[in-house]
Amino acid sequence: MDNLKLNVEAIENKTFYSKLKRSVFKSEKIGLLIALLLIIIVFSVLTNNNYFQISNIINILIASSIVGLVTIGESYLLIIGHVDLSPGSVAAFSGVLVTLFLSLGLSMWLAVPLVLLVGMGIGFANSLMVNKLKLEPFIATLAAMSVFRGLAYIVCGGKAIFVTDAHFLKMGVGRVFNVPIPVIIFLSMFIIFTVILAKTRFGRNVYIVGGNPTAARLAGINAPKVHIKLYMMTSAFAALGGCILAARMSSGQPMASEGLEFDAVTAAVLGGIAFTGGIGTLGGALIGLFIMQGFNNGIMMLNIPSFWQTVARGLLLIAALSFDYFRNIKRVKS
Amino acid sequence: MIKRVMVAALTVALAMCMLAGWGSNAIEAKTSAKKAPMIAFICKDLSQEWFVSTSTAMKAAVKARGAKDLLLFDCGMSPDKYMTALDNVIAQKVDVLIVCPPDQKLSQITVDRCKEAGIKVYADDDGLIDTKGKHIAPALELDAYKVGQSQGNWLGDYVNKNKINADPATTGYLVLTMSEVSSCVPRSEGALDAFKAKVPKFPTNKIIKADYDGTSDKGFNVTAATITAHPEITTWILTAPNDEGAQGATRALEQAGKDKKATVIGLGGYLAKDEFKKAFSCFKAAAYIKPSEDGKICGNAAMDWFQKGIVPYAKYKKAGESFGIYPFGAEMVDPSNYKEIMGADAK
Repeated sequence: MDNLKLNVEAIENKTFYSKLKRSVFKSEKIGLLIALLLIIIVFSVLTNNNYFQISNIINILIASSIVGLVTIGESYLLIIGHVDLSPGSVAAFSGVLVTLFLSLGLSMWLAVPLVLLVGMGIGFANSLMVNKLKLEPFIATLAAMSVFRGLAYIVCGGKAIFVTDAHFLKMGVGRVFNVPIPVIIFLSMFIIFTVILAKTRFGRNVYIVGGNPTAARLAGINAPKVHIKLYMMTSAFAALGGCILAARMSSGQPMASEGLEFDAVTAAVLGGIAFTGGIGTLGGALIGLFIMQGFNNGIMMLNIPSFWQTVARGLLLIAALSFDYFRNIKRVKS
Repeated sequence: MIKRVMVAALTVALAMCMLAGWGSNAIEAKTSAKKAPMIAFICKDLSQEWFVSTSTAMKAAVKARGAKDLLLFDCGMSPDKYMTALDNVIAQKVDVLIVCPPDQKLSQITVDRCKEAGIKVYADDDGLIDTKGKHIAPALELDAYKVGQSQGNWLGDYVNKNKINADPATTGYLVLTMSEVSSCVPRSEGALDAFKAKVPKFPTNKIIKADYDGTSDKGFNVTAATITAHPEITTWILTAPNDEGAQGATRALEQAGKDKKATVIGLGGYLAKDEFKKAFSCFKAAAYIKPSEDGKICGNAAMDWFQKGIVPYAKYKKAGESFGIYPFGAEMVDPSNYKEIMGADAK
């Protein structure tokens, strides 16, 4: 009897460990967390433990906040199989616009919402190009990228606009319980939009539209309407990011945020969101974002020459795309 | 239906833009004098605040002297776009061409093609040089190393005067640099060399070079990471090859609570002037290079060449050189003198 009990326990233990082993090696998020942990350990060792300090974690979170806001929007868009290349330009345009409004005497409580509305308008225009003119998202938003970068320079005549509004500046450099306000804004948005994606009908519709457009149509989901909402959301996030950056730097600069969209897409793909659409979570994208920013911060702390930093970032992008490729193969097989 | 309406609307808008542009050119053509020259400026990056101001002043200068127009071409740092722009100005048969090439390796082809086409050519900011580094056309050059030296000298004097280096173990010098932008490297080198000459006992292991891409955001991130990597340093002194980097570094020092003992020196003055207006900012000085002066000198040189046959900057020609090089330098500005030195640019 005792032998039988021992055997049953042994089988149960074996099953438990094999399940654990399977889940560790098969779960994308656990794999990503291990990668993040490795980055933390390696850089902590190389920087004499200066890497994993509260002050540096705050540095990483601040660096992540603006890219993170755009990553939320890009993640939603990637899940429906689209991409937006204009957020960097929209952020620069918004940063210049909000500082212009403030310099004209508008209150920040009016200027910021107004700029967010402009951002949503830009997103709406992008979605019209995709829905009505049937342009590829890549092409439509590439055009928007050029238009709004140019407009950013036109609005300010190519010169940075300085801002002194104390309330507005707090949005970029203020803290609540020692947590920087940009980080609070980003994490709040992240939580809200994670819940929306995971727990609401709209979130499910996003996955269906991205995973199987035919099924979405048959299920009566209005895909173009989903597109409109997501493009508006992404541009609004870019506009918010632009306002935060302007507040952090006390000036709206037309050359700011170049390549912001590429960082956001890299973070999302690194975090398991498939280019092909229908797959991925915001949680994964967040880990991808922290891997990317943690890596960037680490190589800056080590003072690695810039040419090697460029190589390292390129390798990280290749790693992200390779993960996406292998995950796709695994998904097809399963 | 909506699609057709949108296509039609876009087509009409495009046509109107083209007509507006053509119309304005036509009006200008009618009103300008018969002998009014057409000048062109091919610039490596017209999005930079420096070149925006330079080209604006250049345009004003040539138009004030009776030029038909100053055609502006932006290469966005691309050699390919530069060559396309060069083809374009040759096709338009401009009278004088001013260039600031994205890569000085394009110098010889620029001079050769202009010679073939009979176009007068000279350079602004980055000279046209041969493989041995010898100038092959006149130029107004920003002496980047000298500009950097102004920063280093100011910082060295400031450190000595205020005994900032009293405790060498806790004082660090962060040299922000842009290794990927060749014209910015001498700025950082000049600053460092001049500083070392002024403060020879400053420990070399407390001099840290860090790269950024010229934007405030990256300047902020790099400085924040460097400060964290060196907790033993409580007093930071810093030079940056542009004002954006200095501004980003200032915000990072403020965030880390290390700004009160810090000294940041920028280059350009266009963002520094706003920091000087604050009650306190660790952004304490900048090497000011006057873009409007650069543009004005350059524009007038083009008109002198066309109208009077005076080759630009000939009086600066040195022995053994074929062309004159105007040495454009910088002046240090700080809260005590910026209004006086910068004039209208200080507003």
